[in-house]
Amino acid sequence: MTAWLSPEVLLVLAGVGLILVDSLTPRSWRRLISPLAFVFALGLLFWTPWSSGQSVPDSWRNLFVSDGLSSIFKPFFVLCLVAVTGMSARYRLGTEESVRAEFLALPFFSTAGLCLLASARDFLAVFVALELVSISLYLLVAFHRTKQASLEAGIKLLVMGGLSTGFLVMGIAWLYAAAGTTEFSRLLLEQAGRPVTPALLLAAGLVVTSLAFKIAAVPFHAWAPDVYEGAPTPITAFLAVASKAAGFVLLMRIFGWGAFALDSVGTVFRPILLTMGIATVTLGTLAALPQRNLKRLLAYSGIAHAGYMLLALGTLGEAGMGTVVAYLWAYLFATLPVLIFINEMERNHGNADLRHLDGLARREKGAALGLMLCFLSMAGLPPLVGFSVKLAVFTTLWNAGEMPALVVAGLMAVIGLGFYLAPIRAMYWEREADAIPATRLPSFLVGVLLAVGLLNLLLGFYPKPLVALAERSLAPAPLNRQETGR
Amino acid sequence: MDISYLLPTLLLLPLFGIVLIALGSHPRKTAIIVSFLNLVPGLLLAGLVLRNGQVLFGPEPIPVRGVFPFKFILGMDGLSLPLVGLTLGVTLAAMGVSRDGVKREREYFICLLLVGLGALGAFLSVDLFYFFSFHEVALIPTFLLLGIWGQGDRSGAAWRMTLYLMFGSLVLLVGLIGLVLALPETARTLDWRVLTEALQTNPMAGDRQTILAALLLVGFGTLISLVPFHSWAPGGYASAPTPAAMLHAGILKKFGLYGLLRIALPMVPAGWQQIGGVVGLMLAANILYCGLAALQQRDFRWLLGFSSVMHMGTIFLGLISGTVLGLGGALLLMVGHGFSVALGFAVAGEIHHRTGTTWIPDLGGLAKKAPKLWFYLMIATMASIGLPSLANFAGEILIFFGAWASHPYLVVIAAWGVVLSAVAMLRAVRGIAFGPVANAVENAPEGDITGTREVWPFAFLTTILFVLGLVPVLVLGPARPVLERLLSR
Amino acid sequence: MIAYSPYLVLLLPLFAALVIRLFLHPFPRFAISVSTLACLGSFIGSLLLLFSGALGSTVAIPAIPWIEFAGLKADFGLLMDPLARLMATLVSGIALLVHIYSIGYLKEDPHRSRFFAELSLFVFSMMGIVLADNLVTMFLFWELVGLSSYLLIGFWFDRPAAGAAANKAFLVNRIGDFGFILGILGVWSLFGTVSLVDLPSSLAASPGGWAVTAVGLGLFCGCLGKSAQFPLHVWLPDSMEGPTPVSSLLHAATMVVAGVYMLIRVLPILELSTVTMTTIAWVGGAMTLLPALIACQQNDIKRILAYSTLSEIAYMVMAVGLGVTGPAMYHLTMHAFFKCLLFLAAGSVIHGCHEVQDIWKMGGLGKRMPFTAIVTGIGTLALCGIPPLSGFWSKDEIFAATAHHPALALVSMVAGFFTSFFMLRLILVAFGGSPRSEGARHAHEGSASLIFPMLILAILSVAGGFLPVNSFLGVAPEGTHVSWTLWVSLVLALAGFVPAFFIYRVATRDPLSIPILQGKFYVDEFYNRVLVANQDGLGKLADAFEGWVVRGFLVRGSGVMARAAGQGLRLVQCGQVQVYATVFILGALSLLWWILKSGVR
Repeated sequence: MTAWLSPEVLLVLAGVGLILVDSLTPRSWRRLISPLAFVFALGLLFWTPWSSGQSVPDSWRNLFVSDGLSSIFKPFFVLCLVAVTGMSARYRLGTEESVRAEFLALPFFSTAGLCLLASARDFLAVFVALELVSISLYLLVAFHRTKQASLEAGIKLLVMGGLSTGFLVMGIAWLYAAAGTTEFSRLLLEQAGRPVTPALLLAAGLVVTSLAFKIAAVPFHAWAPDVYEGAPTPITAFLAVASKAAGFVLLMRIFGWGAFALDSVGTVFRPILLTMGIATVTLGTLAALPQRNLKRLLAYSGIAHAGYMLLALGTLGEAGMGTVVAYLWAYLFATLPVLIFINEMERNHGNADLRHLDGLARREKGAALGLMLCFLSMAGLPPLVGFSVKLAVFTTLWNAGEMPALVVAGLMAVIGLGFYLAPIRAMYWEREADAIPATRLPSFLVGVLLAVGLLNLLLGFYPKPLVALAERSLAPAPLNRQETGR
Repeated sequence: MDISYLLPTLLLLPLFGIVLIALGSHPRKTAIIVSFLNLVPGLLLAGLVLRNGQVLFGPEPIPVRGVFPFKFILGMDGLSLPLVGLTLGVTLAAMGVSRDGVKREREYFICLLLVGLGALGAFLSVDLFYFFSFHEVALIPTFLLLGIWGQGDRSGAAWRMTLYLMFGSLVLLVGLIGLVLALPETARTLDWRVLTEALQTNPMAGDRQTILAALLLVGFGTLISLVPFHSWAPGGYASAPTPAAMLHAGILKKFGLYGLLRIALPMVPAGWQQIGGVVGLMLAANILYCGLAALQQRDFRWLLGFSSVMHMGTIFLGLISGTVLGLGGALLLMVGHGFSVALGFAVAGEIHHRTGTTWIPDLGGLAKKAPKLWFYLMIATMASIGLPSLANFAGEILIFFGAWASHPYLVVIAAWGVVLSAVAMLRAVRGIAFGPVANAVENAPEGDITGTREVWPFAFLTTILFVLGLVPVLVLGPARPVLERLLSR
Repeated sequence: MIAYSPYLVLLLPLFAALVIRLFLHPFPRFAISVSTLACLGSFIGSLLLLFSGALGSTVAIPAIPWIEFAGLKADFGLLMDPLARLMATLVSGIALLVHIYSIGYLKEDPHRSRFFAELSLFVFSMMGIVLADNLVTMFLFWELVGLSSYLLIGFWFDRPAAGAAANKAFLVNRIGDFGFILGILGVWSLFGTVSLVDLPSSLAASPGGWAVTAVGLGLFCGCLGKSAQFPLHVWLPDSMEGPTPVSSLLHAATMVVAGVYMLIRVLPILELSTVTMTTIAWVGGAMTLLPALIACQQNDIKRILAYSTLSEIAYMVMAVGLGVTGPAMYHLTMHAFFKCLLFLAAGSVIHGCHEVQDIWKMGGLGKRMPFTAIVTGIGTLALCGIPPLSGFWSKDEIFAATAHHPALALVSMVAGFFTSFFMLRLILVAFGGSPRSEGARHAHEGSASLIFPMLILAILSVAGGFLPVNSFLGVAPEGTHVSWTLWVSLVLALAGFVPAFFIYRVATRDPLSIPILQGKFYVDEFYNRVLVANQDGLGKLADAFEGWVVRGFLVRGSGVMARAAGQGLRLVQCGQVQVYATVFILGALSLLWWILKSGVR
């Protein structure tokens, strides 16, 4: 019964509800729409942890599963949603102000898709969920119809996303042809022990390609910077955190204990994933160095982080999976505040140029401190959480004996300082230019930034919660034998 | 009675001070008071250590599986005691010589307190993760202190320093991970006591030891400014604000040496032996190369920077001596150097504050204009060139005695280093203090340091230097058993 | 507690120094009295010790622990053998006289509190050297003496020359100590102890060979520095920049003979190697002559005396090198008397004619400062070893020891000849003739506090020879037998007066001009040109390397390269979706190709 109150359902309902409210109520109530959305999101955030543990109705059994992984990432996505709706509330839509309701509602649908993705155990379900996510994202990215950048970003995402979807479909087709099923657990049971067929590998390759696109791993990353820059900042946040995470969740599921958790497959993919990881870390880090636009900088840093996670995941071990889970949460706490701030920046200055940070520390001490902590955490300096997870990555690599990867990762971690410290430097010892005064923030946002920043510090010193999450997520999905035995 | 709960107090007091300052209490006064109060638990704990040999706070360690096996354990024994003492003392003095009316005072003093806090944490942590993290806690504010409140080529210095030290920390990190992973999956722990225990009972393979020792050497060596990883140091100190220079050169640098003593020596003894030759070369370079470079410095801060880099070489000689005598000397010299270099930078700071320069050719006749300042300048100089009855001498002599059997040639070099540093420092003193009074000195608005308020930090450091020099047993006594355990293979 | 009372001898001056430094700086009168009384106290103390020692009382004095760590034992203990007791008495006694002298000499100086503080510090350190019972603490006080010498030479720190001289003294001593400390290390590693008490007993286990020689030479380096013997003698003449009481106490009577004292202490080790002993003897022998030659062409009254000091110390060193410590110590004592006297007299001359030091600017002082003239004469006769004055007895014993080394005997006796020559030159030029400068014209005797110490010392210089020094030392007097050396040396010494008399009786400017002697054999020049220059050259090199290569290229370079790479990558990011798609496709294809390649075997 409670299954019908699962986050996915409620998310969709909330989205529909928003649109209805918008269309049924008089215009004068419009300004209530954003707070309403925020309240919905917040409510869901509190509901999700309770609900997401619930079992799935029988008729859905072989499509969806509710296990550690899903129950940990549904709150993750909803948390992103909360941030996004919050940011949207402060985001100026200009000419699109009239359709704000849609701008608010679409993320709900998209999030629903992400949640489904988190518990999908069948490639069909994966496909449906992904489409639900992507389509609403295309719309959102290009939402500023009149803004050149936004429109361009939308087109880029559409083209590239289309490509990757194509690969996914192709992959699923190959898979069905090769194994006769698209269900993870059955695939696993039937392929276990058999010699791996090229078809299967090809299928896996195609799937991985499209997921690599989602997490913006080299060489499928090219879209990220432009799209991040062009899209409305709330959506950038959604892309940078939520959909990236979704890609990883899926990768973990299929390689951890889902479809492709076969040694025969693993031996093929491990070097590929690791190589991809190395390339991604290197490119992300180096390309970020000359950036002067904060959004692009974050895009590249996101790519770099994806690389680190890919390295951990590439070892295809339990530790690696746990690391990725912890890393994603750390990434969330470090990245979202910065995006929130960028949102305010654009509100004030219209763009996210690095020089709008100059002298921030003089005016907005709290915000500056919070941001500094976040950047340091991204840079992976102790005692911030970012360090703990990077440490975990290094440990995993060492354990797995992947010395070259370890060395590259380490080197990049140092070079990375080059651009993570740049904003701090701007905030703390550039002086504020009179022409472009530093961004001002409402005090509650300052509070938020500070709180999250300190959270980075806290988790750095006391990472037990993250460990708990990681360990819970490692509880593998139950394989329903008699059903797969059929 | 058990007063081990005072260990976290050592960390909480500065934290409390930081909060107070953030909340708006008078920054400098708060900082001084907090650092002073911190002496109390420090002394009590010192007493306890002298009696029981060690103090421990926190849960007993159990091997943890999984990704983050951290445990927050604080401990203090004969080895960490002197360094904790050093930290408390130098922090207090640094706060003492700091000034009101710095731009953005609050951040300034918060950063200063953070440095001390981090150092304390590093010296007290028994868990490698916190050992490492606390050091970084101290490094980040150093970067800000340099970049915001520094002088001269501050941002260049700040970047150089940061990149170097980050590089070092990273190599170090890899080394530490390697150590932990040397244990079997089930027995893994980050507690260095258990780690040492395990690695001494069944040491790892020779070549692996060598690799790890090398990693640790490069890692810690960078933090210690061991040639060729040293070039961040002199410039950094030259442009750092006085208290920051005191804290970093005095305390933070010792973290690397402490780490080597605590971790590299006991855990990878064979490896350490293996790379002993390389270390020898490097430290010889430290002494001769930096000693010679020091001869050419015309700016007093740069000179202090180089000479402190140079002394690291001598300490290293103690570390590779492989005798309790040498290690004890190294420990003593670490502490002595900490206090003396702090005093040196304090004096340099006063000179700069009064005359607006530390460029030696522009100075002169200080002895006539500011006899008190000159007196402390002499003390600092004499300490750093190893004048007897000051702590550094006792340390150096022990190091020489300890290393004589194993590395006579290096001892000769080190002894010559003493001459070199004497040449460099005395030239500087002659330039600054003797001769006719230079304009910069003549026109200095305030002449001498006057009144208790200005003098006490100098007197404080001087007293400690003498006490340690005359009663070295304060350091050596409690340290001896620990050092003997380190060397027992 | 009473057992510790002998430490008062050592600690009183230290106490005085501290008290003055901490409290009495503004009150010169108190400072002076405290310092002087402390010195008096430690003099009386050492006298008591001396006589109690002579009466054969041996009180065990507990040591104050300093370093007892892992096999190395170096505590603050008092070594109470006759030698130490005699030396302590000598040091504190002379120091007391110089204190009294300084009271008058520095009457007007504003910084005299500091002067007396530093003087007390010196007395403390010197007593420390004398009484140290092991090499490490001896080295400790050794360095402290170096420090106080540095401070006292540089006392007038607004004179650039003073600063330079102070630095030079300290650094040259440092170079000597470099050898000394290595020697001590050697002793420790060879004999397993640094205690001067246990040393003789543990020498049995001496390995012999080059090691012992090296150790001996190392220790001798210490002596070279402190006692200003060749090649480290260059600092002593410059050190005359300090106030004259300092020159007379540190750089004539006590400090500079510390090296000899130390040699006597470690003689058992030196004797293990004939090479060492010969070296010492010959360095000593040579150094008796060279400074004596240089002194003949110097014009600064104090420098002349400084060079004669070098030569006299060389006699002691030579004696040690010949293995006869009795005469060495005997001469050390006598020399302390008459050389201190001569310096004080010189001081009174300088003081009398208002800071004139060039003897050619003096003249006619005999009439104006009769007392000074007389004591100078006494000092000179004693110095030249004319019987029955003190110098005669001690020098004779040394010459007697050279009886079997004709070469050494010859050199040192010729040195005696020149000593007489330049001393008479000094007297004739400075005290004879008529005044050659304003200062000299208005010269006058100093106050009582200047006269009194000179009087005492004059008496000692005359009668010192009859002091039972050897019995204090507990060694049999050796000078009783008359050998050829007595006559030869005496004749040469007397002969030295003759040419001096004829050349300088009426001279108003120096008729002789011997550049090489005026240039002091150009040793300083050599050092500056060759050694110092090279070291600085290397330093410049290191500094440049540091600045350009390390900081400039390596560090900045790496950062630049990283950024450049970033810029390069940005070119790919052109914003063209077609390009992105192509990259995507290519990437995917290569990926799949790899998969199949590695998957299908």
